[in-house]
Amino acid sequence: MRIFHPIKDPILLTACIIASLLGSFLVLALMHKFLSMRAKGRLITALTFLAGFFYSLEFFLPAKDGKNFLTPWVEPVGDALAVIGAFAFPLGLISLAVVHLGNIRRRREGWYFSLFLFIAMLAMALSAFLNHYARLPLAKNIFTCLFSGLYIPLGVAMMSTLAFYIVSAAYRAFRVTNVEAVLMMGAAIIVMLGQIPFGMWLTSWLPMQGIVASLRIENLSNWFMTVVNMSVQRAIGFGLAIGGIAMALRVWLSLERGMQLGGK
Amino acid sequence: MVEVIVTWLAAIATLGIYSILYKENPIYRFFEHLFIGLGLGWTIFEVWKDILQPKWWTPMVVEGKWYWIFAFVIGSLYYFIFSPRFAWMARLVISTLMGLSAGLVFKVTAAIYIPQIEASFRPITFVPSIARGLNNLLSTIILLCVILYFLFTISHEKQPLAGASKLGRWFIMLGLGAMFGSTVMARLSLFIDRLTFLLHDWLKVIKF
Repeated sequence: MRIFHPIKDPILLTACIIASLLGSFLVLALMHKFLSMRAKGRLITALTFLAGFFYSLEFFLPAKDGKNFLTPWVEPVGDALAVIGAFAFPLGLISLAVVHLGNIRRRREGWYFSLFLFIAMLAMALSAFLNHYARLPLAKNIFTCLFSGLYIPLGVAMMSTLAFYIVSAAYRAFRVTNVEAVLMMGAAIIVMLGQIPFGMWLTSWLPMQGIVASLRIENLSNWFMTVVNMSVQRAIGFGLAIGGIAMALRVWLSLERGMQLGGK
Repeated sequence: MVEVIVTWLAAIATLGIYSILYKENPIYRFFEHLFIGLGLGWTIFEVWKDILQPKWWTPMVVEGKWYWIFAFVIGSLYYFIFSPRFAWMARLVISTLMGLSAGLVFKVTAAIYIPQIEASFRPITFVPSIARGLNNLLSTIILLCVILYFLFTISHEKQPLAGASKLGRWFIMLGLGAMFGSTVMARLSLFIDRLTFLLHDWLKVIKF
């Protein structure tokens, strides 16, 4: 359609964007004014149902050379989904700001941590933008300090502390009280030993080739991961997939009560 | 100079996070909030640089595809969630996107899991070795037993289903143990990386 051709003239482009913006909000205002609550609910249900058709039809309809009439739209729709999703990001920021600004305003215990959170957020965002777009040397140095000096090490250190918590949780969970606990502990020990030199040294006296080589700890560990763990994960994955399809059907057909207007 | 500052900042940040291993303290809480703030700032930049600029701003403003303004209109509807009177507009966009995602679930599930089902039943004869055949057989048995364990529409009280279901539970425990082991090792690798940084890059106590 000619109307959807790109516009090169900047003035016409600006006019078109402003007109589309005003037109869209006018349509929404009219809908808000003249549609009853019930009609709005039906509109939401209808749009949800129609939207659900897009990807499923694109996948299930017969395709010639792997493409049907919906295939060229997959990428633009995916981009639109990503863009619309990105516009929701500030919602999270607003929610966070409400909580932490409340802490600062009411001088709750530890309010200064909330202040540091905002300072860090602004400093990182500003330095990243200025470093990327303005190429300022000072911004680059500040960005390097914040990103490589703080953000990455903090993330890695934070993730590594989980090792201590997992081990302390395991101490409680792995108490050998039944067959299941023994099996779980045995598998965990074999997998862990199979990844460290000490574990490999324990069975290093076994030959490298032949059937007996399967008993070397690194081979046992690999076998646990590729045969036992993979099959178990696959079976759990199939269960999750069936649950996912059931949930998707409920959402698609607007059977979820929370999706209805006024639903809880 | 910047490298020295980066090293010192990283060392202080690492020690600050590890201070939680002693007990909850203000230094840890400071670095925790700092991490969240930096993460948010970085995400703001990433959302613009990786999504909004290449997929929305550039096509609309530089390439003249004016109709991308409708993405902004649809995206702005989220914010009506704060007004009870206009909240239906937010539901309109949220429900439509959920409908699209529901459709995507069918496609993704079919694309990912159907090949996996096919790959789960591998031959036990005409394979390069007996061990391969036995492993293929064992994989299928594990898969069926674990699925049976999660199948609640049939009774597991009578044999042979009771035995198979119990075996399924044991296999799940073995799988969870293996997952636990590899997760611990991954986390310990990160811890070793931090220790190496502190002792080698910062304090220069150890040399490679």
